[in-house]
Amino acid sequence: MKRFLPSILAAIAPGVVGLVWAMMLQAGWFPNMVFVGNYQFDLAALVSRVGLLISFLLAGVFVVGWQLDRLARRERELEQRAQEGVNRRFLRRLDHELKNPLTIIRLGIVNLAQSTNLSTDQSSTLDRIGQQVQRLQNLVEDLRWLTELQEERLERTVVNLQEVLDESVELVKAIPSWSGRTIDLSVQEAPWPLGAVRGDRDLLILAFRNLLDNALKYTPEEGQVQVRATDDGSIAEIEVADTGSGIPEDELPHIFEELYRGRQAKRVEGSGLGLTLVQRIVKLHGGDILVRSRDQQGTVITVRLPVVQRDVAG
Amino acid sequence: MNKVKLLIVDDEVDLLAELEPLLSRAGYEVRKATDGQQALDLIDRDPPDLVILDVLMPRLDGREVVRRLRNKDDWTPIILLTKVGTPSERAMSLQEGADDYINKPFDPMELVARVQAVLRRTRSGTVSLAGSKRLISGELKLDRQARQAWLGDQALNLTARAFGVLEYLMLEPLEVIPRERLLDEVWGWAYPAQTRAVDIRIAELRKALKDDPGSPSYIETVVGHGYRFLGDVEGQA
Repeated sequence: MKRFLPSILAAIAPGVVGLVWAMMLQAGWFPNMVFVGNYQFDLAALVSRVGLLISFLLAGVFVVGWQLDRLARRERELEQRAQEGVNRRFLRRLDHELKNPLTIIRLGIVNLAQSTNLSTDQSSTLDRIGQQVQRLQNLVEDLRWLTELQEERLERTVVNLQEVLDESVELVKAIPSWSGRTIDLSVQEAPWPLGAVRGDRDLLILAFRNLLDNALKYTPEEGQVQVRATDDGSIAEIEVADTGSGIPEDELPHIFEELYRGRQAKRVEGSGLGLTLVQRIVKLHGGDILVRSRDQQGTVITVRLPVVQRDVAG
Repeated sequence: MNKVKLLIVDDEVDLLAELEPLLSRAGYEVRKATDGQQALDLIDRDPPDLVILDVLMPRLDGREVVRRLRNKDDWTPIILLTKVGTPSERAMSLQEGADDYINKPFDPMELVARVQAVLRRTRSGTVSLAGSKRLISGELKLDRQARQAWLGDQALNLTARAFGVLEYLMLEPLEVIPRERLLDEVWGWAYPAQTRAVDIRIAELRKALKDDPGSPSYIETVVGHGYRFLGDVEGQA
């Protein structure tokens, strides 16, 4: 409703101005009857009718505009959904077609490793092939899983966000590469504690774990990673901020795209699916995700999630 | 001592060529068939101890082979090689009467472990539980269709995933199931760092089952490996 308010006011204004002016004319503030040649005009009636006519015309223009806008949006949504369907079918077929070749390669690697006397170098090569095959397999599986991550796969319960954040921090710290790193977690306690959301606990933890993992990846050891969580009573806002390498402005519109990897990211291990997955999880929870970043200064990713009413959360 | 005879059936000749040496090294006598009809003929002529069967094949697919064997009361253990994605789709592949399934692309050593597990179960005379609608272990009852569990007369209030974990563990009693496999089978995704999600559901189950992790009656933690369902499980059609 808020976005329509200026248009509604603009449409009503001429009618109201016309009526007020007509009332002032009739009250005798200004001469009301005007003669033009042999014709006599009642200015109050004229002004009020012209005002109302303009109001009706403007209202018509706005309504037609809104309808056209709504239709265009609907069309874009349908197009997007159709495109997602095409992508999903393509990934399902790709996943399906790659399964036999990947199985055969994996079997071949084990057969070679077990049955021949390989030199140390040959063993290392075989290990590397094995790792790369596993990487390929993971990538295809992750892509397919991402496209199939729909509402029906979620297990919705009332989830305490504070617990989700605590556990995500704990999980990410358990990754050996990040064992010595600190993450500052600051969660709203007053005037009320951070609320709960209706959602899938495991997926929410996966989302925040991924955001934290990303923040640590791109932040030097002496840098800072902070998590700040607030709740205005209807929306919980969780910021994951870092003083890392930041994201160049031209890359920002693309960071949630599947398999997109920025220039900085090319030096760091990753699949290019982490942020896509986070965005998908947040959207499935009725939330949104925003990113602000300054190149070479750091990034803050904000996740906004609708919280459940306190009596529901218990 | 005679070697255990395995029949492997897949229309991918290269896959058979790589599977044969792997299973031979594991100590099995291996025969091969490239479609369902050929497999049925071979099973008729010289019954194997276990069949590893691809689902999607020309002429006669794997599911039809299972159906035909079970219809003529042939209960040769069968492991299906599936390509389907979601946990429910995979579980459905057991409805026809297979003993286990493994999703391609599988870890070769995992396949060997599954063959051993299925053989162990069938040798001990245990009937496959995969097709059972209800699972019972002492006081604990699971209705797989209604997705409801009871302990004695008390209905248990379990989350869908906790129920899935319990069901999966009960389907393979006494076998150690790694956390990654539970994630893959019940959650449908296997992010290694999320194995903690499994531990949380196990804690939920233990609380509901009043099971003491120190001296468990139902679910045992096998440190460094995963979880194991203790006790006998009986299946009801």
